[in-house]
Amino acid sequence: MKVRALLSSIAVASMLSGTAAQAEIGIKNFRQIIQSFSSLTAVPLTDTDVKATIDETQSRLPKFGRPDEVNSAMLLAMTSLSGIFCQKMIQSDSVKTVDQRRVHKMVDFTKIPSTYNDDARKAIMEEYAQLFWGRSASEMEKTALIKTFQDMQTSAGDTVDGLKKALKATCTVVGSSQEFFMY
Amino acid sequence: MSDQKKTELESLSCGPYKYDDHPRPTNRRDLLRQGFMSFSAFAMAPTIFGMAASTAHAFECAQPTAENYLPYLAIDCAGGAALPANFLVGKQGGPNDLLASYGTLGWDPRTAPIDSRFGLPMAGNNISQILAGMLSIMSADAQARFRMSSLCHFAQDDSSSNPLSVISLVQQIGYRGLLVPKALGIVDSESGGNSRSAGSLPTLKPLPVKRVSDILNAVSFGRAFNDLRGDPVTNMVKGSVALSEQQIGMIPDTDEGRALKDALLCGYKQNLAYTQSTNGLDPRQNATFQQVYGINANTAVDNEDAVTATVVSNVLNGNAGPGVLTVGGCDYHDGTQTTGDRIDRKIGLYIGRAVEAAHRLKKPLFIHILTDGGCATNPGSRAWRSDSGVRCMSVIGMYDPNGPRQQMRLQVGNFTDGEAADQSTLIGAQPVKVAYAVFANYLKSAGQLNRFEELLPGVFSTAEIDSILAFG
Repeated sequence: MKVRALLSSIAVASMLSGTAAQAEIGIKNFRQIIQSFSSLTAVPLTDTDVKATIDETQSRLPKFGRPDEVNSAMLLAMTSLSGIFCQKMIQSDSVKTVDQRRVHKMVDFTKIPSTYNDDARKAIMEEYAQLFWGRSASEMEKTALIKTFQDMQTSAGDTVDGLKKALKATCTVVGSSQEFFMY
Repeated sequence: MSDQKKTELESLSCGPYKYDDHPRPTNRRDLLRQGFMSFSAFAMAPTIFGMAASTAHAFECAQPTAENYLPYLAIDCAGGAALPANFLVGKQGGPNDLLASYGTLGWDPRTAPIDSRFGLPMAGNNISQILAGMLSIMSADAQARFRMSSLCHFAQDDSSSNPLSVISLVQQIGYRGLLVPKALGIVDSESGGNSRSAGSLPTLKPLPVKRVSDILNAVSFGRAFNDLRGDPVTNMVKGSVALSEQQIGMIPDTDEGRALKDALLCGYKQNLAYTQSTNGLDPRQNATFQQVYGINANTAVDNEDAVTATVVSNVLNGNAGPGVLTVGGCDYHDGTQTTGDRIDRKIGLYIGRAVEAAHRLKKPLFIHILTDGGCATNPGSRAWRSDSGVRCMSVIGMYDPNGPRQQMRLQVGNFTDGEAADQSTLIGAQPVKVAYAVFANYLKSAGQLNRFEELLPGVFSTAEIDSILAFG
């Protein structure tokens, strides 16, 4: 996606301008992470819940974009942030027509999780992968994500509300993954 | 920053100091030391990520150990507090080997009453406001079990560059919290406080706690998951672990890459622990801390007493690793005594509350008081007139619920008749050696002195280590 490519190039330029030029692995810093989430999900940073979540998590996100800033506190912060942006995006898409949605082109929000067969689930995972990673998900990645969706169906309920929870959880897993914040 | 907020921050210290001999504060460090800000965030320069980081990740990935470690709490007095105006300093014979004069240090031990209840003599009769602050909160039983010793040394005035903190070293022996596998600090910096940490590792940066909610959020999945407690959130986190295991293979097989893989795998797995109950982090819900800190369940999350109680309670309970409190505004040479007394009393209250809380919980506690330099005054006065890096000292304290620790010496290093720290001693000239000495004392107090050579090989000889130990 153009936005992702632009953000990546900005991140690379800032990385090369400092001591991180020596690193082989790049990590988005807190500004890049937050801006990426907003741009990719089309959820504005002015949203009250988003602002509150940023306030609660920002201090644990990478300040400089160095790999040594990755730790459990940072990953939990990523989960919180990914969760709120995914929740808002799902809420927004659920009241739009298919062609207006950010993703969820194959989702019928009036149906329950068990009505989605493997191909349908794979298509949803592929949308999330393209959105956050800018590439297709591998078969192994799709398998892991589909299992998450299935486990959520079991634990959160095979209901219309359960569908949104399953989508939120799966979207969060993709958005908080290393593939999103590494480059 | 709004004018209202600025006024609020200034009121938390004693108002900003504007000195003719100091440039106007231009960065956050200056603002903290001169009392413009009480809690502030620091931006630290990047460091090289290498082999040491992988070791640090190994610590984070290990099992929680805080319940097996001696709780450690640092009180970082930012700006150069006049500690020799509170604690007696002496020559090679110790604090009672009096200097020829004490004119610039703020009191005369030959004429003022001396209080030695904590081992290290302090200025009595309300002269030392650090002592006054401690005694205002510490019970007699707590006092009886607490002892302090000093280290006399030089440090750069008003500087965050002194590597006086040992927060990173203390973590490197494997000390990590049951719920939050990190140290806690009031300041968002590499050390969690004002002074730099000796032996610092970037991955051991303390969790910044500026509000009570910061530690609650550190174990929370956030508001998006209020509707997903229990099994659903556990399944989500398991999904993250599984996906990470698939994506790990894409990371380069280099030192940096391997360290990152460790961090990712253990980090996602650590988050599984947070899907269970994480009670006990909020001191506002705890009767002991309500009483000691004067807080209650409705105290604001950014209330200073609640925030300091959050660090202390979670250090003592083993929920987190070691902790650092920072007292701002210690650069109090504004030509008055009033300001210094007010800040000193605050330092005393910080010490006293932590020890009293440890006493009520029947937990041991090692306290480390550090500062960047000191102050000088005119003879016969406590109206502080200037910075003085040669009038610096650190203090270590040990609270033992089983009874006061034996003290091998009250003072490491010494002052001279020139009323300055003797820089010819083992620790006198280099703040980093002071940190190593404090670390040796922490390990000794924790029964782990054998770990010193493992972490700091060749730094001190056996004889040198013996010469810097304060507690038996």
